[in-house]
Amino acid sequence: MSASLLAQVLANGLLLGGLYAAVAAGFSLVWGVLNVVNMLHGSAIVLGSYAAWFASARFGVNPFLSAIVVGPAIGLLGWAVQRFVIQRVITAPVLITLVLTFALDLILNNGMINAFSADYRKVPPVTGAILTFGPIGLPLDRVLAAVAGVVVTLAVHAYLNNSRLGRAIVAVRMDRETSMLMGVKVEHIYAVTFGLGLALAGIAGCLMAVVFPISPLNSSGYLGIAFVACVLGGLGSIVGAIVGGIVLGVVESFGAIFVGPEYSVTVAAVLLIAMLLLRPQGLLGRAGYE
Amino acid sequence: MKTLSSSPWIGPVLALAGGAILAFGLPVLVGDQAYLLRLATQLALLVTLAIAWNLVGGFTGYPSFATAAFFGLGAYAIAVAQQAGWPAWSGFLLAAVLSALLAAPFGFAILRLRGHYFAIASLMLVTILKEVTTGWSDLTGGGMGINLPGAGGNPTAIATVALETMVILAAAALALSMIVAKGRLGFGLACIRMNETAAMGAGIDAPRLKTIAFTLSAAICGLAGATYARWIGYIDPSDVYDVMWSVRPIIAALIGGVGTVFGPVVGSIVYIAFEELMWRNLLTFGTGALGVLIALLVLLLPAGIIPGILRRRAS
Amino acid sequence: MSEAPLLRLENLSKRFGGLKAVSDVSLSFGEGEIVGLIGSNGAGKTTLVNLVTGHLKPTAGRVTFAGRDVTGAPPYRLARLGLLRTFQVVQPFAQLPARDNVAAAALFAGAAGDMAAARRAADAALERLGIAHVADRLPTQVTLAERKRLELAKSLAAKPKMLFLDEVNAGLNSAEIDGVLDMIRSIAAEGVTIVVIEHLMKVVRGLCTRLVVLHQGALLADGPTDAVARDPKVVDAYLGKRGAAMLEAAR
Repeated sequence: MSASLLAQVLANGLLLGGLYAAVAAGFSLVWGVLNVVNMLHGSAIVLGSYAAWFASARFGVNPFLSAIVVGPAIGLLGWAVQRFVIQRVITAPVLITLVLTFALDLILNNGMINAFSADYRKVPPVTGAILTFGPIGLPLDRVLAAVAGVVVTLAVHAYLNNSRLGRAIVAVRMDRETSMLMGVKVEHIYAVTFGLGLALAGIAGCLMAVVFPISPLNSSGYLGIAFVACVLGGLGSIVGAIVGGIVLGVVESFGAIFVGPEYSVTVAAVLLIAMLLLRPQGLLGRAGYE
Repeated sequence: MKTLSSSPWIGPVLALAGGAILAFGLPVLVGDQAYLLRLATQLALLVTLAIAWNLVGGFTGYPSFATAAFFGLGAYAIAVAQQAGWPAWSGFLLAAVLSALLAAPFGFAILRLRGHYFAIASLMLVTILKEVTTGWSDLTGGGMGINLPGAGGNPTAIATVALETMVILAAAALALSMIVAKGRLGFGLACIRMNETAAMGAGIDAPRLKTIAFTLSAAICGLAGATYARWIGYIDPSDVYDVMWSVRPIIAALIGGVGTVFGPVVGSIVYIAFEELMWRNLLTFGTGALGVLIALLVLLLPAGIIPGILRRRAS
Repeated sequence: MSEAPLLRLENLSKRFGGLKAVSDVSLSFGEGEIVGLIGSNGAGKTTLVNLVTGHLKPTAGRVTFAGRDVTGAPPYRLARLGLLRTFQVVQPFAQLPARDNVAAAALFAGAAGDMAAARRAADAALERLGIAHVADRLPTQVTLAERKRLELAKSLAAKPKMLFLDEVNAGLNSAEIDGVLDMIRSIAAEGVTIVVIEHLMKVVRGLCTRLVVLHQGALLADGPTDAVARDPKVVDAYLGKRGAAMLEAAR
């Protein structure tokens, strides 16, 4: 393998990883704070993609701009879903919340198939330019989407650490009982966190729409990416989601070359299981929340 | 049940005898009504998978999503064996043995994980097998799927044999589940489910018992997959490795009562009835309506319909 | 000690990351001894018990039990060999009646042949600990004192050679404690070695013939109760003047 091909594959992987970071961040946040594996996450991303497509086809607004509205809108939906539905079984065993969010996913995904059909749709290129660095060529849209993915994720990280509400979320993640004693309304925090998680999913969907064709069938793939990146980076950690996303992107990119693109999910799954067994606390080393 | 509990073998023997009567009686009753044959076979299939899942997800308390993996593996095992000219019985044997051989080491490894982590790792096995099956097209026909030799005969005859096989398998699974529940293994698994640390402290070899439960469950799922493949006659990866094969048994067990012996049976009946009603009346929004049903079920009766009703009556 | 000890720890250490929770501890325990394991919070008592009973794997060192090397052996194997423990926070099987809670230990660790034999052994253990009346109740339906005895009954049904009792008296009143102490003595009288991890001076003084003191993960003192209690090192590091006075007064 030549050095230039190697560099190209690495660059592709890094760009993919930036998007994956955005895909995983909200999922990781919800899991870490609520101890809920949100099976709805993948479909929420697809919903974001459709919203971006709609904005582009109807109003000619590009996904980077529509994300500003789409994210909060889907976040509001998430807030309501948590507040009025998931909250009712929040203390039930793992199996119950898994099955419930899976059921919600069936509803949303099937609704989207009915509304948009399973056909792939595409948002027209935003810039269409190609950046070249020596032998490496990078589509500018992809670069912008990856950078936006990382920036949004970092912004959430900053918000969690610096705002009052954000610090309450972090406190609940660290120690629910103590936060309750200190007067944090856990129900409220849960709903806000779930909303924030789905808002991130919506934004990730807009960014994915810049790069990939849109179909409801993508949702399970997105969910898989979120799982793997989240476990790689360490549960509940936003920075971990970035690290995990980028590692996954690079591994997938090289896996496509060495093992073949048809095994991309297998590569990720083997990586995930190996990670769970050997280093369950994630690459960044903080212990999980069991 | 108290009167029956005098001998641990009465229940399982009754289950097997009842299964045999049903297996050979149902086709006589149903005759060549294709719809009823299909429905009864589907029900027996779901009962089998729900009982198999319950060994791990119910008795042991580990929320496995690997059902579809062993189901698909069993289906492909018999399909490939029959293409190679093996007799049917050896195909079934291969399905059970391959599933068990994969389940034992994989289960031993991932059963160290708890809760969500276990669920995800088990789900990943489905994905891996699906991709490997798709990629290994020399053997499996890849994404194009694989035809089972002998398919294309008299459809009623095939459907009848499928029903008989599936009902006997379901009865055998139920009998096994009864034996496990009453025996040393089931007692150990129950202790593990309630408190694994205490179980180990009480001398229970938790890794071994969990692996046994997982392996038994996988072998049953493999056999169910093999029966399914012979019934349908044509399989492809996106069908037999569909994650719904993992989810439907869980829902059935949830309806009937997770961790009980008869819960998966009753739950499967209720589930199939609902699903049929829905497909008929809401064809375009079938899966979505299923989602609504599952969500309502989980929200209103998280401990299961049957236990929920019993509890309400008791109070 | 002339005969081979029942349990021997050699240079046992456990690190968590950079922190040495237990460092280089060597100890021997003979048959039928009642030993107190004391030390301030964070001294490494519970970690040491976890290392010995298989709930944690040591970073270095060796554990020998009844002549076998059991370093890093899982808890269920140790339980079957007769090395058992109770937990500081009681750990019942919540949906099983008390009898079956105890029967589990009898069946899997105590080598009862079948469920019926295990239940008989369980009833005997419950009877012996004076809680036969709770046999059909769930662990959540009994008092804390009864729950603590239930834990003891579980250990007893496993036919122990050695028991680690982690704060078995915490939360009990004075009369309840006396009852438990009598039971511990009677178990030890049958040749079972008992190690109690305790904060209560009354218990340590009244029960133990030997004290082992841990301080910051290392062995600080080991010897007859009286001598250890007067050891200036121990007084400084753990007991303090007031504790020593209490220990003296409790004589």
